[in-house]
Amino acid sequence: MLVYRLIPTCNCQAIDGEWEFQSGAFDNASPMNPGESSEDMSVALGDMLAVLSRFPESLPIDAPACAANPDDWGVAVLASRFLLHEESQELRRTPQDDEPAHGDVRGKKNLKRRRRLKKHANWVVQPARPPD
Amino acid sequence: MRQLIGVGVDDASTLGWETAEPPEQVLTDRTIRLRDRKGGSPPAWAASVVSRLEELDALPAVDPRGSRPLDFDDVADALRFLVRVMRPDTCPPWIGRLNTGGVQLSWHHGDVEVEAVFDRLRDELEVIVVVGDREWSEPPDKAETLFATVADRLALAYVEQPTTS
Repeated sequence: MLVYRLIPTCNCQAIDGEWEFQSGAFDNASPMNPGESSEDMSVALGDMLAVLSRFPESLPIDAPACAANPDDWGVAVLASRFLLHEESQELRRTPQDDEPAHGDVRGKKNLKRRRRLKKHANWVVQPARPPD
Repeated sequence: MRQLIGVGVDDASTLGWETAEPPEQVLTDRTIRLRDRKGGSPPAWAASVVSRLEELDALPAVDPRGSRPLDFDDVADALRFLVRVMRPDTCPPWIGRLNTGGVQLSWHHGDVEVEAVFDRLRDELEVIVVVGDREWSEPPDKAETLFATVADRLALAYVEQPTTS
């Protein structure tokens, strides 16, 4: 299965007119509420997107978090096999009211791991807003 | 918006490091003021670093599911590191804000990569230098020598030489 990670332009470096995501783009979220894990990286699950007849390219438009400026968000793809077997991460189905395909990649992500995730990941779609 | 870094050109908060003595860093009222003890014009990288930090500080969030504001102490740690390792001709780093509010610095030129993180919340303070397939890491307070080994390659004037077989 493939998982998809929304990436804002602030986590990308502009190189030769293209956006290049940086390792910080593959970081765990900081919990907003008590009891939430500090080891979860938010993703969209490819199998659920397929069930819902949705496409990862549309995530910046679909996601409420990106609604204000969807052009500032891109989508990167990672393989669940890599996350589970090479990076010892746990993949969790955590559907949300605003994103039924939501999942979490749970596990510690230090700098070295974030760098490996960056190296493994590929763009599905770069942010629509071109670099300055 | 809060003032994170004091910047000025005509007063004591002038950014400037082109003197023999190291800069004085003053932390007052949770505003970082970078100033030089003897005055002098700022190096080429100073303005872009401050501008980027201010840009990151103004962002409401950097993760769709939650992130913290840019952390004052992590910014100060990152600036202390830059003051120690940057030469006047060093390319400015790309700067990122981690979800914890920490700061990431990175340089990537040819086969040289340097990445530094300043993240007190996770107790993550690390500098990684990669040259080709080789990788080294040190905590930032011990990374000056490590950074110096690639400083020439990170200079604005450095030009990649063609490899000969």
